[in-house]
This record gives sequence, structure tokens and C-alpha cells, in this order.
Amino acid sequence: MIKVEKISKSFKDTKVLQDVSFDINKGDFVAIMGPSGSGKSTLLYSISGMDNINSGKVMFEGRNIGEMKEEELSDFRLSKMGFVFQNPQMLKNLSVFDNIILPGLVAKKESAENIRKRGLELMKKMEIEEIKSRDKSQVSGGQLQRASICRAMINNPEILFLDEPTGALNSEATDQVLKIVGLLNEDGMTIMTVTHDKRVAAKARKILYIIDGQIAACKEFSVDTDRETELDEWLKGLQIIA
Amino acid sequence: MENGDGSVFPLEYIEGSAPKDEKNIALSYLNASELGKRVGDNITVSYGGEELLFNVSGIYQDITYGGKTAKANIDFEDKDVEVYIIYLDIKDGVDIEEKTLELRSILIDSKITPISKFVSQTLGGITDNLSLISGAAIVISLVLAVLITVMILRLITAREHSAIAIKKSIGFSNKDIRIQFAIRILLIQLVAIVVGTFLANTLGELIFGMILSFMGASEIRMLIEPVKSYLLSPATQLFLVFITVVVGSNVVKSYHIRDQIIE
Repeated sequence: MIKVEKISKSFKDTKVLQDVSFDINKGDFVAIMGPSGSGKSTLLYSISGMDNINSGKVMFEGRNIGEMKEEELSDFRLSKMGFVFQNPQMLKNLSVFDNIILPGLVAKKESAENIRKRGLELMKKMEIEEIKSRDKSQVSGGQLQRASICRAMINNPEILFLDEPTGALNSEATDQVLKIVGLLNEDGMTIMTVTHDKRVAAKARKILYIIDGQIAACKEFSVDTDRETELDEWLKGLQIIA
Repeated sequence: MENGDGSVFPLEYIEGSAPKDEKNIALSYLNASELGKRVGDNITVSYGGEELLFNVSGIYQDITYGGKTAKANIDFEDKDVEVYIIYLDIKDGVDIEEKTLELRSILIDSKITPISKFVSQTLGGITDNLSLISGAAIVISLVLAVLITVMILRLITAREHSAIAIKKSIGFSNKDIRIQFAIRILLIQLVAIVVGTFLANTLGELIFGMILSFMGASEIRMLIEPVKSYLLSPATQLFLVFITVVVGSNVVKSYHIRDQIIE
């Protein structure tokens, strides 16, 4: 589905990504790990078209997103990609529900009524119906992050990009988000996440470990294994304390 | 002091009417104000060693001769007359320029001036100054509109930095966001134009009249040029503000969700 070919990215004189290449297939769950400042988030933003790259290309369903015009890329992201960030980024002055359905209303792929219906279904699935009319300041971090996932899913995207989705959550909220992310992937949703959290990474089938903007190691889990233990051993094998 | 039949050169009086007989006098607004005279009051004029008593029949606006003139039926001595003004009516179809040249060739000691040039020579300095003031006012108002738009834009973009970055992250394009800005600011501008036009049509005459009363004209009636006032001027303002929004909102391109994420 996504083919990343030798992408490089610099901020002024600092090279953040260097010749990074990998593939993401439909239904994959890919986790990007690595130390702080290694280029994980930049990789995610570059693949999703939110950042421009200096060289290489990102092919999304056969289309080079680097060649898309800004508006075309925005439409593409709106309809094909969903985003969840570390701090649930919701708009003030809108209720949680209105935040969730906003990308749907902007995309105009369906009627407003259908978008509202879908928004409610997603909230029900994520077990946050009761916060529908609330302001973002009136709900917990876990609920807000689940609302962010609802918003990311409102346009039925092809892929879900998660940037440290549990980074700002407590243990209980992390469990709730992990459960949902796992269920979404089981339902066939392609997911790419950037994370420091081994529990999140253990949900993935493929781990890319980034150091200094380059893929230092790659790991694919077998189907029925204790992924957390296997991940621990793999990271120890890399002599990396995660 | 002007003596003669004023009805040839029709004049609208602020109060009262033109002198009807030798006992009446009409005063210019500035004269009446300075002398503290109103219609019906008496006034004494010294002429030729005599005290002449007049009744003020009317007050009119005048900005010639420093705004201080009067009209009365006094038989002046020829030696005291500064100028004789004779108004001529020309028949329809007669070429004024040709008639002027013809009269000039006959009345070589007189000054023959078509009325349009007379008005222009009499009021030319004032109309030129008014044109200069109105031109400067237009330029200043447009510059202010641009500056205020820039300030509002800066305020909004700074206050909504986070919201803009979030919108971009979920799929709004820079164009979508800039269109939102343009709609918001142009709506404000539209309301300002409507309110400004209303105030100009109401308070404008009053304020302008107060300023010009120092020159002798207290009651100014503003003539509205509909195309200029209701079309060209608002269109120019809206266009300039639109361009300012287009240029000023370019900054949203640099907004990124990364700036909102606290590691």
C-alpha cells in the first residue's frame, strides 16, 4: 500500500532522515521506535505528507505524494489518512462530537446525516457516547484520546497514523486505547505508530528501530508469540535500553 | 457691500431673504456671526459721513472675500465702487466662447468672463483645497484599512495558531483556512463600510459644516455621487483588504501540528 523509497529530510543543516526505505502493506501494524530526536515523528509526518522531504519518494497506492499539489494532498490526507497525536488535539469551542465529525463534513464524501450517524457509531464502539456534548476540558485524557481515534476514523481512512498515542495517558487509559487500536487492526485497518511504549509496540507486527534518521534494525513478529517478551529480548539483543 | 438686483444670480438664504428695499440689508454668515446679528435686527452702517440704519432681511453663506460680505440697496458714489458686475443671459444655442470673444472686442475696457470660469476663479482655490483634502482622506483611509487588516490578521493567526495547526493536521488545506480568514475579515469590512457610509451621510455634513463655518459656510449640503460612494469606494476598500488578507495569511503555510505537541 505504501512504498517508502530512500527518503531523506533535513532541517537546515541537520539531517533528520537519511535514505529510509520500507514498505507498509494493507492490514499491517508498523511501529516506529527509537530514542528521542532520532527522527521517528518526522518519518511519520514525511510519509503522511505533512512534511516535505528533500529526496526520495513516498508512493501511496501507486501515487507519489511528493508530486501532489498542496490542496490535492490535503484532500488525499482527509480521505485516506487518519491521525492521532500524543496530546489529543481538539478544537476549542466545539463539542467532542462536533470535533469528531468535522473532517467528515469537510470531506463531503457523505451526507451530513450519515456522518453524524457514523460519528455516533464510532463513539459507541469506543465507549465514549456519554461525552458527546461535552467540551474537551470536561473529559479525561483517555476519553479524549479515544475521541481522537473516532475523529481519525470518521472518513474511513486507508491508514491510521498514531504519534505517541499513549504518551500522555495513565496506565488505565493506555489499556483502553491499546485495546481499541488492537481491535481496529484486527478489523483490517492499516496502522503506523510512533512510540516509546513497549506495550504499544508489542501490538504491532513489524517494528522499525530508528537511530539518527536511519533504520538501525527491523523486526517482524511471528503470529502467536508473547510479543512483549520477544520485543524485550530483541531490544536487549540490539543493546538498546528501551 | 454688494448693491444691485441679486435675483439675477440666485442665492439660497440660510435665513430670511434678499433685501427688498433700501431699508434692508443681507449679511453673510460670518459677518452676521461676528456682529451678533440675526434676521430682524437693526444695524447701522457709516457711509459718506452718514449713519445709515438698516434692518437685517437675510443671512446667506459666502466664502468669497474672507466670508465677510453684505448686500444692500445703497446708492454708492461712483468713486467708491470697486467693481461693476453685469450678468448677461445668453440665448440657447449661442456659443459662449464666441460671444465672450465678441464682447471682449467691443468692450475692451471691461473684463468678460463666462460664468463657468467666474465660478472657477472665485472658488477655484477652495475647490482645489477640498479636492486635495478629500484625496488625502481617501489615501489615509485606505492605508488605515490595510494596517488594521494586518493587525487583525496577526491577532487572529497568533490566537488561533493551535486551531490552525489542528485543522491542517486533519486535512484542511492552507487555502481552506485562508478562505475562512477572508470571509471573516471581509464580513467585518462590509459591516464597517455600511456603518461608515451611514455616518458619512448623517454626521458627515454636520462635521464638515462645522469646519467650513470658519470660512463662512455653515450649512453644507453634501451631494452624493452614487457610483463613487456606493460602488467604487466600497469595491476599492474590499479589494485592498482582500489582497491584504491573501498576502497576510500566507503565514498559515508555516503552521505545523508539530509546534503543538509537547514532548
